[in-house]
Amino acid sequence: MNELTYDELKFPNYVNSNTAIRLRAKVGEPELDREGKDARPLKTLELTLSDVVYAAELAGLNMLFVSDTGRGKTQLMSDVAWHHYGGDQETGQANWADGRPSFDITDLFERTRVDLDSGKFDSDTARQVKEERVKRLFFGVDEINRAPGPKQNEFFDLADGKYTFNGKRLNLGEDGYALFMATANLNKLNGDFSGTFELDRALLNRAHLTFDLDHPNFRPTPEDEMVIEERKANPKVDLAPAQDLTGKILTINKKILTAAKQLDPYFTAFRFLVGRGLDYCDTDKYKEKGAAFPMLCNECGYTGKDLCSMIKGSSERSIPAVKTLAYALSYLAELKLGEKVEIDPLDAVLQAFRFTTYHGNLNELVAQEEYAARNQTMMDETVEKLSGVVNTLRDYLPMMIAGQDPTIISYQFQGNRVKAPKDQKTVQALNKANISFQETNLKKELKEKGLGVDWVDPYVKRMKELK
Amino acid sequence: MTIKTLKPLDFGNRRVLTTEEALAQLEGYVPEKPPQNPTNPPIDPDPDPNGDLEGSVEITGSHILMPQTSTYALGVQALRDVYSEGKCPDHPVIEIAGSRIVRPLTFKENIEARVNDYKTLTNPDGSERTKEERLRLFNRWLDSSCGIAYKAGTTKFKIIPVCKELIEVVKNFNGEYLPINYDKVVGTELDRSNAKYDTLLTKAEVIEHPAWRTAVEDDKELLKDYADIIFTEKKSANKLMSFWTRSNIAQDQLRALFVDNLNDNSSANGSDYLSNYGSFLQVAPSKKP
Repeated sequence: MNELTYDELKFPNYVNSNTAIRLRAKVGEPELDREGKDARPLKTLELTLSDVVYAAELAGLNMLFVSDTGRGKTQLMSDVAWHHYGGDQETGQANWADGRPSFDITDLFERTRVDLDSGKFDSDTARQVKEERVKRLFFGVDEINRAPGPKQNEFFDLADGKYTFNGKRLNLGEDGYALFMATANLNKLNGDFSGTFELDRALLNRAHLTFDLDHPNFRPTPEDEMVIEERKANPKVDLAPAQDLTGKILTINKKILTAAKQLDPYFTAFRFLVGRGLDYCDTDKYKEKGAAFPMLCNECGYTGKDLCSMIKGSSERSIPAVKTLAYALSYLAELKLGEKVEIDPLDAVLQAFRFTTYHGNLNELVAQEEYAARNQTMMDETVEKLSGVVNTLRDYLPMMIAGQDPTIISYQFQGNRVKAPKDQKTVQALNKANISFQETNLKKELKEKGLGVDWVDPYVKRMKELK
Repeated sequence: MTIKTLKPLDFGNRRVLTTEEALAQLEGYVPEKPPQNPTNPPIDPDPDPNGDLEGSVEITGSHILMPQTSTYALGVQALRDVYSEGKCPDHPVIEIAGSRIVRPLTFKENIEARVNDYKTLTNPDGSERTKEERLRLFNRWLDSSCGIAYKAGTTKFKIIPVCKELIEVVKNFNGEYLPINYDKVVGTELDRSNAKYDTLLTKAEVIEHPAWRTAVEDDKELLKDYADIIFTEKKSANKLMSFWTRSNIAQDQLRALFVDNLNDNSSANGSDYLSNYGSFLQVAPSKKP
């Protein structure tokens, strides 16, 4: 089987050339300078929203697209279903459902066989599972929140890659790969969409990634809109020619999952930062956000609340998804450019984190009052602040990974400001040379920004053990 | 195609040294002492500017970032050389004793160059300049003709935007500073004890900072523009743009003022050694129609 190409992935109908994410990257084979350092210049790699969707597919991550009407989310999902998974017909690998009050999941996966000759009807034997449907890799639900709450619960199983039949849990998809994708019109502020229901938080969390197609960086550009307008007189969704890439997608998915399962000290530190770090509240009696967030944040007088009042810790579902997407983005970038691409793990993971907007971490009060329900804009600004913390962390991580305590000393040496890990020998050498120095400590820096630090010592201890 | 663990990239920041690197650097270091014979500064017997050039990065546009040299004086000499070869006819000159001498850009001109380059959004062919391109002048520090003179035993210093002594520095000078008689230097006098020095500043503090204001020749709008850029590009930081000075001055001395790169908070630095590298901007020749 030939390897997947970027051209094969390109959506035939959905058009969106807007740059959704920018990543600093080194492209091409390493070129070493005289000192043996990599001389390749840093480039800014621009990936479109479609690219992020391709990467998420390769990573096997569930996706939820939210927007006002007419942003093309159904077209996008249709292109995925037909152009990547062969469509929902007999030979295809996609299941497609429309969210509506009358939706019944059994319609999708079960059939009833009645033997008229015997004259008997036994519901246990008459009900049969449609195995060919269960094994399909793609499960798409259009306008999911047109189904009421109890009906939405039926989608939990789909998003978890499971289906219960006669008390038995069946795995959907193949080799652990089952992609769930859904679209929704969210009543972000004014309740514009009648006939829609609030999306269950548990369902939002099961969508590993959320894409707000109303966000200026995620929606099609004016040029794209012209292309779409000129191309079709029919405003309905265009059905893409069926193309089945499932074999190729599965092969790459295995590679991505294998890589993402490795213990990576950079990702681990990020996980702690957005998990335990953001769950900390300095002013709370029990030092955790818990019930204090977000109700008390507004009144909070903590000087470093800039970041901690915007967002709380991420769930255990969100974090692995972010790591897997980071790897998939790296793969996709190479596929797109056709040459070796190196991206920074912390850059990648920060960008991936932007797609967890509707996981319930953001301060909803601030989102409504200060951002007029533009949650993605709030998420982007939060990530910008978080990247400042990540940059602080960058300085300390190499020494922590080397098993050193995260304290940096800085001093003037021959006209330059020098930073080095605080170490007994270095301090002695500086004293001997009569050079004064200042100290900074990661825990102190994080606490000043309102972030929890209980993970720092165990992290360093573990790195020391692994050394 | 295989997938490898993502490796952290080197963003070219002034990174934290390892303990081993720091110890190796400090090994054999002797604490700073004033030069034994200040009227006869240490001299490299055979300077070769071309041999010392590093990182010859040319930047298209109105300015060219000249190759880095191993001393300030060699950088000035390189500028003299390209000027005499007619490669930068538009570069500013100064008249000294009837002779027209090319001079490094002032501190203010360097800041203007960065601001203008940053604000240039399109290439000559009409294509959009990337953020990376707009920040190219911010990636390395920029030396200037602006001098900073310190008075021995005090916290006083003067800023001299176009400093004749630095412009005329001999090409083989590789001392830490130029010995001078502080009282004879003409410049704006400031006192370290009257403002915040050697510490990062908020944007508001930068804009009102007496030394920053003097360095940009009191062009408050320019300084505000510049601070806006720096604080925008380093959004995560509340404090940046320190003004570094020399303390514990045992002897009157003259150093050069430079503006640091973005990764190093774009501080103004008047504390460095003249023997410690040179990095200058050259005005690009105007394009012929």
